[in-house]
Amino acid sequence: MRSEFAYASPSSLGEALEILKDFGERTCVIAGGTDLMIAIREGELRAELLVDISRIPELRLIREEGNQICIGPLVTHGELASSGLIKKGASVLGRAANSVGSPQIRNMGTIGGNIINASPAADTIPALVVLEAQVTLKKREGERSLPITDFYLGPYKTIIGAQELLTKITFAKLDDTWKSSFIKLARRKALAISRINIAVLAKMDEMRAKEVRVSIGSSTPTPCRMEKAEAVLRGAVPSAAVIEEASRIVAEEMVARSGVRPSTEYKRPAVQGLVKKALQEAFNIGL
Amino acid sequence: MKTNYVGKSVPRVDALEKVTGQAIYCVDVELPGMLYGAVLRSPLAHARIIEIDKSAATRVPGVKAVVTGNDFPYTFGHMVKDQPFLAMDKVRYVNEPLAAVAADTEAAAQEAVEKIQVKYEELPAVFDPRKAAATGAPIIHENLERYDHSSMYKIVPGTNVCTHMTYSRGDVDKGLSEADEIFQNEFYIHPVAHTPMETHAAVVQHDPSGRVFTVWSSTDAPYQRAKDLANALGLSFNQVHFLSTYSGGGFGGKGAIVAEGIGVALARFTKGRPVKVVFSRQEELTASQVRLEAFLKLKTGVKKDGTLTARVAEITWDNGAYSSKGPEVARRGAMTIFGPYRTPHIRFVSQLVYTNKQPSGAYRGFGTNQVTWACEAQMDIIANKLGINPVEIRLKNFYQDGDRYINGQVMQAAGLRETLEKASQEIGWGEQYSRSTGALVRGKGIATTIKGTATPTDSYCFIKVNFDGSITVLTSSVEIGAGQKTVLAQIAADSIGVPLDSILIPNPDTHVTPFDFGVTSSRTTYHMGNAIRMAGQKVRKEILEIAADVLGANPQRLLLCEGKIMDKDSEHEVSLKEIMTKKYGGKGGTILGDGHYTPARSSIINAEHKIQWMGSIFWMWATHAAEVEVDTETGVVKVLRIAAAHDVGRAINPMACEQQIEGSVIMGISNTLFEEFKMDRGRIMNDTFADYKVASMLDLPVIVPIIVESHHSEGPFGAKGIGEPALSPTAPAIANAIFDALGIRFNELPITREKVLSALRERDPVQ
Repeated sequence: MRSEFAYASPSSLGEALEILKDFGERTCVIAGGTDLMIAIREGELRAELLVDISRIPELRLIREEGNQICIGPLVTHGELASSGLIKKGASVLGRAANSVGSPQIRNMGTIGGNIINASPAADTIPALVVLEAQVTLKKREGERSLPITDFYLGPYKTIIGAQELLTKITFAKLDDTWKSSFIKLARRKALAISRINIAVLAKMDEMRAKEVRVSIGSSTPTPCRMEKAEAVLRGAVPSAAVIEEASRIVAEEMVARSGVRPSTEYKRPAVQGLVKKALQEAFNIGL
Repeated sequence: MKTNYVGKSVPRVDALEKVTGQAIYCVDVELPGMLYGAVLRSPLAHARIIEIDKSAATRVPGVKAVVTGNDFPYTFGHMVKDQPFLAMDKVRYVNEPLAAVAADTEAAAQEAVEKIQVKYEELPAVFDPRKAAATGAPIIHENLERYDHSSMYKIVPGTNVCTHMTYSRGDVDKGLSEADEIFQNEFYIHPVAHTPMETHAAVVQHDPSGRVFTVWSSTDAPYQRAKDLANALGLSFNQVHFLSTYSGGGFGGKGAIVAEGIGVALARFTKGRPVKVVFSRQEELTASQVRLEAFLKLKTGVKKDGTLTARVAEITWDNGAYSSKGPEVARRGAMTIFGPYRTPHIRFVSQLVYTNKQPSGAYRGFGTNQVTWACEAQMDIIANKLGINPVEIRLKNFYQDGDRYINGQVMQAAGLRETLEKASQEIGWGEQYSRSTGALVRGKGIATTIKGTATPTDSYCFIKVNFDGSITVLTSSVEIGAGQKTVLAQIAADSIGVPLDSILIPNPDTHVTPFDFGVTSSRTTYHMGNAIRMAGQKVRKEILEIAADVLGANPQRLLLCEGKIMDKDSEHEVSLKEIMTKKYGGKGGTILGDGHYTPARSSIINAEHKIQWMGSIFWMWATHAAEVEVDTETGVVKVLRIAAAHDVGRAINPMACEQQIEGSVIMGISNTLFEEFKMDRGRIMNDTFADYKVASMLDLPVIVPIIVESHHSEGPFGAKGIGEPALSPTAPAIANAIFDALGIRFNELPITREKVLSALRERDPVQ
């Protein structure tokens, strides 16, 4: 049976925060609804009041603030994928957003929803992790900002309070010394949840990789960076051997973090192979 | 003969109606006073029903009927009458219907379903047909031998074996002793869903005074379904009235009583109010029917030069909990396990076994997918071991015109060789090419298939020439989405000599349109096409006689072309409309022509005594050639290109043929590399399209359909069929290409990336 609930549709951020303040634990926030509508249809919504924030225009902006890019939580995957600002200053996020679902899902599903839903398979999260994004959580009494890697407690679990709303996502705009890649492996090429996704950022200084950031999704309990592999790549001149080594370390790190599971037999070599491809693409090294 | 429409890719006659949303599918049917049905389904795979308490359900506002198997204690079955409309005494698979509710709204029906209480006694269940066939297995149908069934299907009493069949020809021991090499291999092919866009649906109305059930349905064979329902309920054919709607995809899945049965059980208790039953996608995936899972063992004797000397085949098929068309799939499928190859000594054992799973049934290919998978993979194994080119070994053993089929039928094999030559040429078979780039490795593979059509089966039609020259064709061939109306209208237009747009083919109505065996077995173009051609020639003759009378001319000297009657001598031209108006103006009138086609008396199917039924009035040949690229780091198989060459006899509508080929190849790629049910104790875990993954457009390669026309001597304008054979060679062609790329043979479907990567690591442990 379909879930039953009351419905509120605030038209300003202030109004939304008031509602969350008053009803807190009894609420659930809905934006694009691509996850929640299914739960509602299945009768799985655990809330009495659905707070629809989709009519709050100020949460729907992509802005440049100094050298920062600032994204509202209602920005859809489709909007991210087609934004000139994202393409130029954070293309890895645009590509990640473009790999989600289908055009219909990308046009409804929001980045805020992708972050809050906290699925280990979320496609924008590894991109946001390598961008070292900060998320801002606001409640009526005030706000706090924290790195996205500190936001997650586990699969589908975050630290957001019942009275808080995610109001923006910010990260430093990248210049063109940064190269990037995003690779997704799913059961098919469209309308499929990632089994493995990988985001790579590399800041190049002539031939040398000055800084490299790697994050893999769908493979670790919480989003994280692959620091051991990054250390191997930092300062190195990218070569087949270095890439091979880094890929191997990522696969090991993945297993160390998630433990050996039935899927590990496939995922360990596949992660290694995909990281190799992602690094080759970022460093623009042929096969 | 010169044709105006046959052989041309005319647009679908129903295209406008469909793209504008005007076409009525079963799920669109709305009637005054209509109620909505919902179904309570079993949570257990095998259990005795102790008690069903429906009292709370009946009290839900808006509920008009709550029906259980006790209330409607009938069973049905097309081949074996083993299936209750609603479970009685036992449930035999997860999601078997147990009770149904009809209510004013879907929500009320669903709420009532959730309030029905059932007590079960769980029974041991069996899911593997090989285990189910073994002694000591839990018995799924205790009264199997007492079920009504056709004598064609041999039941083994006291077991789960629903159909057992053996057949041999020649002396296999002799054949094997003549071989230089004997190959023994085992193969597995998994069950898959039909995944039509339109799920199973029915609207049923019961008229209590006349005891007539009227059934709106998108089934592929309204006569068969009406007959089966009448038989189940003890009614006459006239008391089960089927009205066909457009069908949103069948692929064999609509070839059984599914939603119709629920609708009938409910409508019996709703006092004349119609009831609509539409399956959810979960119900479609878990409780309609699937392709028969099969385990196949082949033992084949071969000479050093590749000549086949003998083959012994053993097939165990999974029937699921009830017999849809499984018994016939197990028979007809087994017969083509020898492929399109001359094999002097053969034997097969085919057994169909009940399990506690969703029923299996017809699936595009009707057993050919399963046997072609084994046969064509083994041909490649043989070719590889003997060092013979896979193309050459097939050419060497192919049927030639005049060779005899396994029942002694003389083969018409023209076209077979050409499919192989054209498909392999299209993918550059034998040419040098770059086989690997980094982790990516390429390979090419081919596979051929043979598919017959159920023989003999009949088709009837009426053609009505109306008083204004417009034409109505009355046929029970359903437009299942493959272009049946278009192709039949083309045949009608050219047979009569009228414009295509003067022809109307209404949807079938079993109170009006005459018998047809069904849109099944790739038979419609050939069988109904022939019936329409015969009726068309009759009305053409009558039109010319009337025209001669009206014009005072010699009918022998008149021509009818594009709706115009021309006098060959005077070149005087009159329109059909004018003739009809002159003849029937004022009071009106109709010219009627009937057509009945049966292949029963054709010499083509002459065979050995009593086994004529194994043959086919026409044989469809096809070869698929695939090129794949395997990513050895992730196990992902990407199909780059598939060339699919099909001998269709004659393409009535080349574009429609190409669409059938492309659609089949897409299905083939999808079920080879993507589709797989995940089962847990009989429950299908991936029961939505989010989890049951069908290939998306982005996963598909370049598909090159190739039409070969061998012109069948008795087909309408030379046509045969195309609906089914385009699917079965795809899987083995891909598997053979993967072998060519990696040197690794996958004998079990589907070929997942996990299996590929695991096999690669087994081969190269250091990697």
